[in-house]
Amino acid sequence: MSGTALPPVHGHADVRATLASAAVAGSLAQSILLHGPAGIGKERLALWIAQLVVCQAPTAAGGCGECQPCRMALKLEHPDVHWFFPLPRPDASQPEKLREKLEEARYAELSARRTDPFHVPAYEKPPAYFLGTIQNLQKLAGMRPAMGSRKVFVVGDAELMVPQESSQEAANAFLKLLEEPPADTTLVLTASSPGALLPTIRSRVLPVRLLPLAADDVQAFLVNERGMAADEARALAGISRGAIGRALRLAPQGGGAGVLAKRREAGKSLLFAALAESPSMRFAAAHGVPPAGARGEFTDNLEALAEWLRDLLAVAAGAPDQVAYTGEARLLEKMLERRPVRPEGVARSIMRVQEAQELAAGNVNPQLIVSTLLRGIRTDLVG
Amino acid sequence: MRFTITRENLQQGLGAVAGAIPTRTTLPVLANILIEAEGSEVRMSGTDLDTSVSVRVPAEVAEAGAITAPAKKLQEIARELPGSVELSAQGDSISISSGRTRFKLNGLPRDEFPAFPRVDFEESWKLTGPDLQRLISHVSFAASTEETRPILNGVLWQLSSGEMRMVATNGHRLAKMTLPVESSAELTAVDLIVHPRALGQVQRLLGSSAQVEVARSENHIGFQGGGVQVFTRLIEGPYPNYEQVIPKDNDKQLVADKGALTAAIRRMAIVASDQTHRIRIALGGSSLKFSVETPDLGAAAEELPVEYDGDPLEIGFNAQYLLELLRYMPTDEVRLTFKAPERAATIQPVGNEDTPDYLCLVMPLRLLS
Amino acid sequence: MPRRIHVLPEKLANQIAAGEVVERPASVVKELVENALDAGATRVEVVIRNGGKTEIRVSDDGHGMGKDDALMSMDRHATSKVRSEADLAAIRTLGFRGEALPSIASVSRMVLETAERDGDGTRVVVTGGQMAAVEACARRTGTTLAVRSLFFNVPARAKFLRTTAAESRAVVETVTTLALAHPGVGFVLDANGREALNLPPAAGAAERIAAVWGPETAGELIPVAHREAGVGVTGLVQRPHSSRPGSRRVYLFVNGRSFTDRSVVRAADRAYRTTIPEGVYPSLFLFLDLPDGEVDVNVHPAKAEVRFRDRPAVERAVEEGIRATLAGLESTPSIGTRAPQDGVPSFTYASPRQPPAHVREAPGTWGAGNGRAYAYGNPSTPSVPSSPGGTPGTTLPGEPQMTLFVAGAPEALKDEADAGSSIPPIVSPDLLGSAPVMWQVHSTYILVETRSGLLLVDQHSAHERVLYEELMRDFGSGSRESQRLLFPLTLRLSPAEFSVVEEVRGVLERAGFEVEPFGGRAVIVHSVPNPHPNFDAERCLREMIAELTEGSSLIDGARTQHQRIALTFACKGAIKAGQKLSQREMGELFDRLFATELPYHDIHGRPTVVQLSLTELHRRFGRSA
Repeated sequence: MSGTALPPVHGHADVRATLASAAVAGSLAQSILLHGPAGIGKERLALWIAQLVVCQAPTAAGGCGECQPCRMALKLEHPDVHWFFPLPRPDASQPEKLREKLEEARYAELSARRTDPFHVPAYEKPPAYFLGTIQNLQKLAGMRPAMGSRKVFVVGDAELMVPQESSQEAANAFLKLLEEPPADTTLVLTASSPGALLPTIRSRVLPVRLLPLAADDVQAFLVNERGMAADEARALAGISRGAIGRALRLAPQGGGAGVLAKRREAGKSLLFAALAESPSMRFAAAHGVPPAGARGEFTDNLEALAEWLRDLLAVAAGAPDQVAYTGEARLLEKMLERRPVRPEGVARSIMRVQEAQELAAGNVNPQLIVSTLLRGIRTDLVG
Repeated sequence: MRFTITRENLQQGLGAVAGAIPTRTTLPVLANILIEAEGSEVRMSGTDLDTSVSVRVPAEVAEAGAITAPAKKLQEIARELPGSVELSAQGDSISISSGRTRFKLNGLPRDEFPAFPRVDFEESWKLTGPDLQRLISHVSFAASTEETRPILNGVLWQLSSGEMRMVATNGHRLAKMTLPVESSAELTAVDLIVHPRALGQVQRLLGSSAQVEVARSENHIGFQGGGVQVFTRLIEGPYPNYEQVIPKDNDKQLVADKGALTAAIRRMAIVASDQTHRIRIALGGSSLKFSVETPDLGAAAEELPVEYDGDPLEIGFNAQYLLELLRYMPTDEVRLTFKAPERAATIQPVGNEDTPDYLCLVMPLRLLS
Repeated sequence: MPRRIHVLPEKLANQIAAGEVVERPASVVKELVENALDAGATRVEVVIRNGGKTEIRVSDDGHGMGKDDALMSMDRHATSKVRSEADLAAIRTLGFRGEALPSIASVSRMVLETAERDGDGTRVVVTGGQMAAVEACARRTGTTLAVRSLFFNVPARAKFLRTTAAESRAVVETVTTLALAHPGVGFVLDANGREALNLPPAAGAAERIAAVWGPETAGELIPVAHREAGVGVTGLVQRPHSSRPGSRRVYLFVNGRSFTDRSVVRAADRAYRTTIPEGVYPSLFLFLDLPDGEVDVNVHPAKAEVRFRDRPAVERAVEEGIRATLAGLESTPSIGTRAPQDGVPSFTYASPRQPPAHVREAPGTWGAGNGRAYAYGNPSTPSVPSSPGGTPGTTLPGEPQMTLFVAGAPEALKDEADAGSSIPPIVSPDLLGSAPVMWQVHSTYILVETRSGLLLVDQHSAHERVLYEELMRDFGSGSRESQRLLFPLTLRLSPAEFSVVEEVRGVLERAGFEVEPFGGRAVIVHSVPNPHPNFDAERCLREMIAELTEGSSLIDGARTQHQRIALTFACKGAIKAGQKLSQREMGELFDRLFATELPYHDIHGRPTVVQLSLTELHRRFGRSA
């Protein structure tokens, strides 16, 4: 058992307090849906609930973390805590084989997550829930708990039980379980887009909305769990939109700290080009991007531009302390002194960048995107 | 921890527990056996999280303690050792020595082993091993092997003061048996659903014990006798209401010789459809008429003289089900009861003290048109 | 010498559908070649230049014409073939309408050279319908017709001619069709100096097909021979598993005449239903033989359509004939080459009056059944007589040889047909050795030794086929066994599902599911079929209801509600792959599979059986057999 314990939960303090006091009072709902934006730690919180449920001495702060059930839950080894997540379809044509292979794949993934809590699976095929997955889940639900008095199922990305072709029946089978779960069973579902859940599933669970984390929570996570330097963590937290997942994705990997700075620079030059007097600066900027391959680095640079605009908005609205890159607040202030801009124009510009990102996702020529975008931003900001 | 144990005791303990060790597992520690030394005993335990087995064997304990050791390797080592064995643990490292042989094995701390179910045997039902064996073997065969209704994969065990009843069915036929038992106190009646696989372990380890105690906790049922404990995880209920389907007004009854009945059905089965195994039985006059007719294959008929004075009846059955139920009937004569072509028939032993309440039920095959 | 050409009575001439006979070079070629065939040619040579727009020349070695006949042939509505209305009802020759030559002659520069005897010939030159010259010429017995400058005097028509390539293709197609109908006749087609076709006289359709498209194509075909209700169906159809989307070839002939008919093709496709995937259509080469008066070929001037007096009987015969063929092992895929000596019949059709050399008696071979004998041609053995018809045909190695289609061959067929049945499956109970051992491989396939090699059976596919046919049979016989349930199942259904169940309740019950409404949209199920020990009745019924409600490619093509239910039941209820089977269960499945009509294909058209012959094993191990 070389399992590494899960990192502690960051943020969601209010929700945790509510859930923990409900658990201590013995009134925790049997089926819970955690929903909110991607990357804010919904599944981690679901596992936290699982630990809370199996803990021998839960407190108002959650599971004690000391008892054997807590320790096993934190290592993803508790026999009554069952974590399900979408998986790619294994190569098996027969239902029985498929069920077996799905369970094997889940174990393999679980064991990867035990050794590395930050493990990000790379699947070749899109992951989904299959009828076989739900049948496996039902089978486990049909047994009394092995160790404690309750068993918990964490079902991540539950909305994926709908879109895939084969999953309609999976959703229906899951519904059967939600209709009459065994009394000793707690179900915790998570979904980033709860609207995609079957309405019949939604109506059978207690929905708990999770908000994006405060930048401080994200920063604390990056410093404590990833050993990041405080200023870098702060910068990353600022652009994370309150999602640790997003911060981890944006965090420089392999390329070193330079990647982030480089992207930041690229965003800055786009902003400066937009504000420049001469249209030739904007054409130059447009020529500065490659004519194809909109989806890669280019999209990241657009993101950086949006971050700059966001900081610009903070300064223009008179809240320079809200700037994500504190070091840049001064620069932006100077810029505004030279040429004041309307805050609502900045907001419109941010929308424009989002539209440009959608175009980039559609693989439109980046030069075209940039030249239109910069002209638009200029109109918005300066008039 | 340190103790000395005879090779036989070690092998016996390991052999009993080995059956509970899963061959493939998600939790690596489950491939280990938990060894606990205390007083003049060593307790060995294994679990696959569904069924747990724990055995106590005598040993000279020099230093109390506990460790988990890889079950398969330990068993292989025990098999090859020359004589009595000294086993000790230092941290996670286990030393085994016997004569001039020394082994070192890597164990895992006891703490990693999932907590064993706690079942209080203070409140228990008591019966002999052979009685338990009889109960299990006459009923658990009828449980479903299909995973469609997981509840029917289990055997219903109804325990009340003074009585123990077991029921199993696959939805087509059902077996039910009741035995009188002693209980340690006035106990509330409970319905437990147990997997037949666990009952197999119980039969193997406790079938010959002079006395077996049966007790339960919230989620487990426990058996103990002669130093062996078996615990198994219960299946979520509720079990379907079987009492409702046991016919009480079957007015057509007859008693027949089991051997003759079996032989006749067997002969009919030869030309029955491979798919449904359907044979027909006609009651009326003083004989039981069997017949079978299978398109593309052939037909057969046979008469068996019986005492019957009820109304005539024609009814179809799956011959395999009838043969199977007859096989479990412990007496030479059996009583059959019927009501109507779409209603359940029952089979019971006639004149056996050992099985005062044994009843099997089989649903007919209908010819739909 | 009687004159062969008669002028049609006026009424008859009018009765014949009017219209343009001559549309393009290909139709000219068709008329001329048919004339040649009617004249008893054994070799027809067609030469076209510039797609036939510049010149078409058809030469034959038929009986030729005398001077009078040659002249009359140029008269509109004169024909040597049809004399009266009674004759028209009994048309057995091809170019029956006398309008052909005069029509062609009226729009081209035509030269007819013909001789009844070697050396004593007549040449007639007609230009734009005007007789330009009649003179004696020396030529061998037979006729040569040269048609030059087609439509030279009708520029409006000439304009509609397509490119040389397109017209050439049409001519090739026309000659190919005619050549298929007349395998005994040699054909040569020369297009612009290039030899487009060179087809030596063949022993049968298969050989002709091989000559046209190559032995691979011919190897994908299996012979059909069937007669019922006076309709003879012979020919070749594609093995189901060889059929691929978009590669279909369909050639239909009735009494030797090519025709097109979509509903006959559909009847053929119905026979394949459940043996091939949706959207895949097998190639068909079918020859119908109908008594005089049962078919009216005089529907359309281009003669591509025909009218059957009893169309349902014709379609039924086609469907049944092909179905019977597909029931034979010949339609299963095999690994590697197919060699006749490993027990696969080479389909020489034996006339009982002329037993061929290598007749094996029914039991003990795969060519069993009903006391009828099949000949097994063995190309490596020179002593095998080539065909009952006596045509010295050559047989391609491993190629099914069919002699049915040479002149007069239907005789043999009629004898067979009178004996009362279509071709039986080629599997006999003796297929396996006395004590066959079966292995289950990957809990999915059953491997079994046969007398001539190995068979692999897909257990799910096989069981699907078994369940489907057994249920259809039970529907027919009106009763089915059903297991009463101790605890009835209740299913809650969607509104759409509920109304489907209401609608098909009667059929479901006959399939063994006793279903009753149970308040709201729930139904209660009292009894269920029990097709195998691991049958999951609830899931099966749920999936069936879902499929019946939503439809699927499997059931949408079904013709009746019964078929729909049987298909979905077979698909959902069959033993799944991954299910362990006992030796006895495997044996049962095997027996029941081979008791079905189409044992070699499941209901989706996938093969149920793959065979590996001993010959192939020997070959692969480098061992000479």
